[in-house]
Amino acid sequence: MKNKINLLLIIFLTLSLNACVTTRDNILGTPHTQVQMRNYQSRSFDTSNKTMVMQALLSTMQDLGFMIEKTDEKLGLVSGTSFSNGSKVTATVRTQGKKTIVRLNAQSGYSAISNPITYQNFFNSLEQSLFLEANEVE
Amino acid sequence: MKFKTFYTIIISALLILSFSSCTFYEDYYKLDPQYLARRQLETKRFEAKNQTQILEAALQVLQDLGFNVQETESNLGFFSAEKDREADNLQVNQSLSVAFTILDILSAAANDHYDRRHHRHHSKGSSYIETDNDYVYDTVQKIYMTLVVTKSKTNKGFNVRAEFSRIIWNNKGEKRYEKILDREIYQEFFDKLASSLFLTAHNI
Repeated sequence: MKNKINLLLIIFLTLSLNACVTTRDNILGTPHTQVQMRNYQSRSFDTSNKTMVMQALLSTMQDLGFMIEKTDEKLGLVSGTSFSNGSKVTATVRTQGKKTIVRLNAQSGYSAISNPITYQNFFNSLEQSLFLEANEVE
Repeated sequence: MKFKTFYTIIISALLILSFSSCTFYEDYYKLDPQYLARRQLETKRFEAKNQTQILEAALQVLQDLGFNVQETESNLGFFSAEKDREADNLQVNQSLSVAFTILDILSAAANDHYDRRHHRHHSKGSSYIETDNDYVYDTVQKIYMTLVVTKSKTNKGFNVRAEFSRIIWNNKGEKRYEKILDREIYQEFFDKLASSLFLTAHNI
């Protein structure tokens, strides 16, 4: 019986210590390493036309029901809030040689979205939009 | 046997905790099947000298409609605007709410009178009349609009995509989001933009 109680205590202590979030974690903490995060938050496109990619990004965000709050063509920045789920996203677009790289980070409620599938969904939507832009589907 | 159950519960709880964080937000940012139809509804092609001419004309329309511009990026042909307004039919709904409250008070008073005549007592005291008006109606709304002008790649002119949406609050403080999909609203906006293009082109 004593063993059982000890085991239970150890488990609860481990769980509560794991859940302990410090100020440092909140300000500088990341769920994955920098490289891992950049990997699933970024997608490269075979074009050097930054403006076209940014316009496709705006279209995608309109399609997905975002309120676009900030844009800066020079910095390649677009940020907005989703009306459908309340999440906030910031996207940056930059050219690298003949490629354009889009990076997105998202937050839902009080936590960062760290599920790679969510980012994959967004980039799939962006790809469709780029295809439509390139082939002019009005 | 008891030990087995105990361990099963602990292991299941740990498994649920460790897996639950992996499956969040998987439905976010997926396009719905109607997005192309919406895009068509929200887009119209205009002929103009340049992108700036359309943006200027569109800003004039927004000022006509009482919008406040929030963000612009003329290099991308983009701006967003918003305005706060009363909800649709607010005064009718307020009158209805008052009418329901009066009815509530009257029926509560009638019940009270009936109970007194039949020597029944309320649990909260005989002089207490409780009204419970649950009539929910919209009170205010914030209307958003986003506009993007892009050069048409296949035709002459520019594609203008305007998108309207709004957040509506009710008298209980709850809010809901609504995308405006009324074809007539978009048609009217584009008609106004066409007129504005003509007016600004002629310096009116």
